[in-house]
Amino acid sequence: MAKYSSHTDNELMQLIVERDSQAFSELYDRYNRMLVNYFYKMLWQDEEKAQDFMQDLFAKIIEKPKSFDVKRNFKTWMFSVANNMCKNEYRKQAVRKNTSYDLDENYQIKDTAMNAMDSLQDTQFSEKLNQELSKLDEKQKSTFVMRYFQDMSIKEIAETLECSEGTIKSRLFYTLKKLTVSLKEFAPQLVKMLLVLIGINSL
Amino acid sequence: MKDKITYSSQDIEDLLLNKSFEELLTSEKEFALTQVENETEYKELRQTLLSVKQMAAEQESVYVPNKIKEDLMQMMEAKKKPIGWFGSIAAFLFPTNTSLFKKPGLQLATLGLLLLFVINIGFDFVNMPNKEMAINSNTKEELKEYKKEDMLSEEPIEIEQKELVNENTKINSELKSPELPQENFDIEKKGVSNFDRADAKEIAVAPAVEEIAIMDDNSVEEDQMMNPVIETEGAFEKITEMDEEVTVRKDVRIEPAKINANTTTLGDVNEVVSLNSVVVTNKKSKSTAMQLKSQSLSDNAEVIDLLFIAL
Repeated sequence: MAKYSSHTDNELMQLIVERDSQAFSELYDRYNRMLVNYFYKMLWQDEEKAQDFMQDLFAKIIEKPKSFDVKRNFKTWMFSVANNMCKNEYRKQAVRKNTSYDLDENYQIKDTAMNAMDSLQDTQFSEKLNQELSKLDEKQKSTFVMRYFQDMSIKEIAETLECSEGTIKSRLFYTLKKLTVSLKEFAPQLVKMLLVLIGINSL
Repeated sequence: MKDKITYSSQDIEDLLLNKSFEELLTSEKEFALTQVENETEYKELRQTLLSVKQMAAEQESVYVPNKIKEDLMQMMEAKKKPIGWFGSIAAFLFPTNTSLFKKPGLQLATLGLLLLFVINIGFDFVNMPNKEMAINSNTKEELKEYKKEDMLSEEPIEIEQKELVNENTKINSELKSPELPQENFDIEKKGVSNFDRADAKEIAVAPAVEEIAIMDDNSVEEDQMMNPVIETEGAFEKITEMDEEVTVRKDVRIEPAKINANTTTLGDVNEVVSLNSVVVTNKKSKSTAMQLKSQSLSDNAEVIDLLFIAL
């Protein structure tokens, strides 16, 4: 396994095309957590669904490794595949629930109202953030998750979503604004938390 | 104002992450205020962004069971396995992760071609002089003699009575000599060089006996051939020159009642002699046949002509 640690992602993919199982193992170790977290954020924090989707993605890599274009960056290619899988899942859910986002939104609003008094709790902020992320447009959500949860650069996101870097920047900024409005009730707690965590005396 | 032109949303993100509103430079404040409505909004955006970053950093990763990897590795191995014995052999001979010249299949093929060259071409090259000598040692004429000798020695030629009778009728016309004895005779052995043109004198006529004495070994000794009852010397010379002999089998009989005492012609005798049993055999062995000369070949040719005509 150690001999593959120095290989790039693209080199590993070339070996996977030649049915090198050790190369696949190395690639899986590099990206399985990243992908499962991405799916977790994108698919309503459903852990099992995230695991299933991550497994399906790697299965696709095994089945059709030649579908990967070696000229592309593997990470961006992989996240574009993952993003397309999420889109398909959204469509399925929309057909199943007819208005899936509305139902989720209603549930989350109710949930938010019930927990309004406990909104200062950190865990609740996290839950609220996830809820608000679920409400976002698919493009805004994927962009935001990639940027702040996957630590992807603007360039990588632009390549993944096949749009310009300027579009990604503006999308991120307006998503941030939208979330800020939604999470305004957590502002006093955020101030305290941030003061402790990052050592900022004043904002 | 220059900064305002160059700044973008990416820059506002950097500002939000790294600087409070109070820490912003004048140019940066001017740019920030083009993106946000006021200082309060800037602070709220900064709080949200920092909290999101903090949350993302502290967020525990979703648990990934090992079974997922095991299943995927099994799938990978299943894809890796070649289908059937032919596939396994092909995978062994032509592995995908080696260079062309390191593939065992190519190496074995090269070795096979090399061996084929050594065995077929190399050995032929070494043995080429011997083959040429073998071909040159045997002339076509000698090969023909071989064939003729083989035919005569291996396959006894039987002459039918009818045909022989017809020939003898020709001879009868020639055998009108009063010199021939008027006695019955035994034909022990008769050497005939050319039966078609055989002179009646060449035929040995023995005294009358009921059965023809036959040599057990069917061979004719030279001294026996030298003592014919009636025979000219010229005829005998022809006989001795021959390599074939005509012998009569034991079952050949001459019916005494049908032998006329006045019979003077061979045809009369041969009418009652079953010449089916007259066999032409080769006197010489194969080893001696190698020593045949063109002269003996011509003699043999006469005998063969005789036999063909008889047939």
